[in-house]
Amino acid sequence: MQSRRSFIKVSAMTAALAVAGLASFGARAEDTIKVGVLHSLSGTMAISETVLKDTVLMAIDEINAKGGVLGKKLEPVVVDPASNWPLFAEKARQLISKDKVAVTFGCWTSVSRKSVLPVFEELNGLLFYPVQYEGEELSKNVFYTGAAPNQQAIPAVEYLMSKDGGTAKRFVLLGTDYVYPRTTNKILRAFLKSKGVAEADIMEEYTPFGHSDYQSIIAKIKKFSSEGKKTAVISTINGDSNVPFYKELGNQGLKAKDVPVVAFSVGEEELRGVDTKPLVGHLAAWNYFMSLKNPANAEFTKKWAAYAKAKGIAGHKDKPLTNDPMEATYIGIHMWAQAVAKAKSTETDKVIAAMAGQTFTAPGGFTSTMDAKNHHLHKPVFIGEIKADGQFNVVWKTPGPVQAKPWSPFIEGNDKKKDEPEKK
Amino acid sequence: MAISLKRLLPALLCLIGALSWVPDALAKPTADIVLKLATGENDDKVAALTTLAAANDLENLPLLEALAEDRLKVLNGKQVLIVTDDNAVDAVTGAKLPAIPANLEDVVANNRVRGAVDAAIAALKLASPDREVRLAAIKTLKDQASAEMIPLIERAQKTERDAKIAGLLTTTLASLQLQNPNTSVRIAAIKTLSASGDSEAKQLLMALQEKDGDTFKEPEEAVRIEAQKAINVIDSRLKRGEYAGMLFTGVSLGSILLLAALGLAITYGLMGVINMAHGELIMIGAYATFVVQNLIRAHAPRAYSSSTHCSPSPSHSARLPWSAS
Repeated sequence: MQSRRSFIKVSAMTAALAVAGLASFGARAEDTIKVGVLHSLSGTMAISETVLKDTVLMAIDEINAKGGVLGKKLEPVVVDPASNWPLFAEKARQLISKDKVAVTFGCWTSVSRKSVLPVFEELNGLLFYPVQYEGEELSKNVFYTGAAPNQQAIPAVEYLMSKDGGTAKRFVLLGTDYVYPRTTNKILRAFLKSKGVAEADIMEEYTPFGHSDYQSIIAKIKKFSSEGKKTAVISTINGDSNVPFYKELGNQGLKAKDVPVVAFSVGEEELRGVDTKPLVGHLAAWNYFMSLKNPANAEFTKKWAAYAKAKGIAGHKDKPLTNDPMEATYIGIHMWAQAVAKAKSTETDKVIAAMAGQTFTAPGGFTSTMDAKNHHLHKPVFIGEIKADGQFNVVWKTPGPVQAKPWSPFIEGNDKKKDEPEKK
Repeated sequence: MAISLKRLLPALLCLIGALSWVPDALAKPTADIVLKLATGENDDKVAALTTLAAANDLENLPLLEALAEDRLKVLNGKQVLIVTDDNAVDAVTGAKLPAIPANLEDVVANNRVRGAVDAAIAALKLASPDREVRLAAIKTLKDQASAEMIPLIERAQKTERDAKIAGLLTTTLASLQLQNPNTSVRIAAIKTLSASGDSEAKQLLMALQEKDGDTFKEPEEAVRIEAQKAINVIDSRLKRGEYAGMLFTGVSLGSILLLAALGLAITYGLMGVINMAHGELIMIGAYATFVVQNLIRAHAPRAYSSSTHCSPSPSHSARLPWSAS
């Protein structure tokens, strides 16, 4: 008798618990806003992209700690497209159709962005792309929080040609073989031509993704630079190839004072694990450096250090590093949250309308503004030299934020293109 | 008596060296120059560095070295400090501060400024009594020297006794004299460079042939002709070096093939069977080469890099003919 009663009691309790659990689960499903995170956590791009996933998660925690957006918590949905470009499109479709995310933060390489673009346009999703890129693209469904060529590549080359940059007269355009380096170099070639640099003084070289043997290429650069005139290298190498590239640069003793290398996809994170002592003086152009001194950056780096330690993020828990795409991701997610609050909805079209003119006090030290029309941020440009400790010494900067020109004036026919996405 | 004189001679030489080592009276970096060096624009910094180098005062060395090593800091935009691990010293007065202040600003030096710093340090070290220090200094100066350093180099040339350093001083001086307004000095400089004949000299000579719009950068035709002659001389010398390198590579590759062929032929001759497993022996050899190469690279990197100089294909082991399959 006793046991039977207790059985009923237990089962009733279990049932009640189950119902409560279900109810709470149901309630949770409605009370959260899902946020997609589409960054490669494996493969050749993992070196750069993994940390961006953690940045999104940190920003989500931060927003949730302040009560979330529209009274709802954000719920991250993390997928791993594994540096596999078609898989990016597949995962994007899964995020939008199956997981019903309100927004996606993701992609690093332009080839992955090009791969997911039709998916976002077809399903009317929303993508925040946090990395500098080649421009020549404007989609209603994408917000570009990284730099356009006029916010990174062009100022960097102008610097190299200036007295302070060493008045370079010959240029090596070295990149990974895909759309971003090819397009950027096309723009740079046209730009150099407009500055009176002869064809013979430009050398263009490409290597595949994941390439690791830079011995002969650097020997070639050495030869090219010894043929007279000051030479500079413009590197658009992406992903883990940068580690062997910089190691070989150090090995062969190509000094920054003789042949400076300016990189567009190398930041604090990529230089982790490289002995930077022989690399002192080589350059990178970005819109943010960890070494910038301002209150917003002090707060950002402190937050990241604490988060990395709490979550035990490999590498960062002992030596926390921040970089430009992390800052761009961080700005992006906060601006999105502000826009959702303004639009009082997570509906794509309403959020897009509310994004125009959003501002955010960025760790870069300036207030970043989302352009009213062209989906790009107004950002300051910094040029930094590598220091012995792997950080960057800012040697040149713009007086303030620069408006992005996604359609570079150095490519023919771009003057006729509109500075806003075509409405569909 | 004669013996004692012989013994005295080095001591006397030392004394003379020490006398020439006495710094110029100008001394002490002024507050003005130091502040310009620390907080000025890059042009100001380079100008300040040139002044400091021309003063030829070894007392400036700590200041310059601090700048080169990122240890020069600014307090409140006014006071310039040289910071070491545990203390801070005023760069002008030399007074030691009670503690390292917390709110120090870095002095930002870009590649151009760092190059000028290295040149200034090297210029000061040209007067060092230590041969190795002087040699390192002139090697740095070779690519970094500016026209303001000509008097310094000329002075060093007068007292220099080491043939190697003296030679480097002469070529450095010649490369600076290419911009001399006097035509005969320019021609003499070109002749000196042609005799030294390295690829860097060639670059300098090529620059003389360049056109600035319609006019040549070098106005005198006689100088241009002399420069062209010098380039030809250097070119032929470089070409000879290249041929020697190619010959060496040819012989070394050929000898590897010869070894493989001999191995096959001897096995066949002795046993009457073609040894199909001969590749294994070659593999052992290739692995041994690879290991030895890595060992050399790890333990004597200098030897490795100089060996890559003489042979045009540094990745020899990776390009063995059979590794292609």
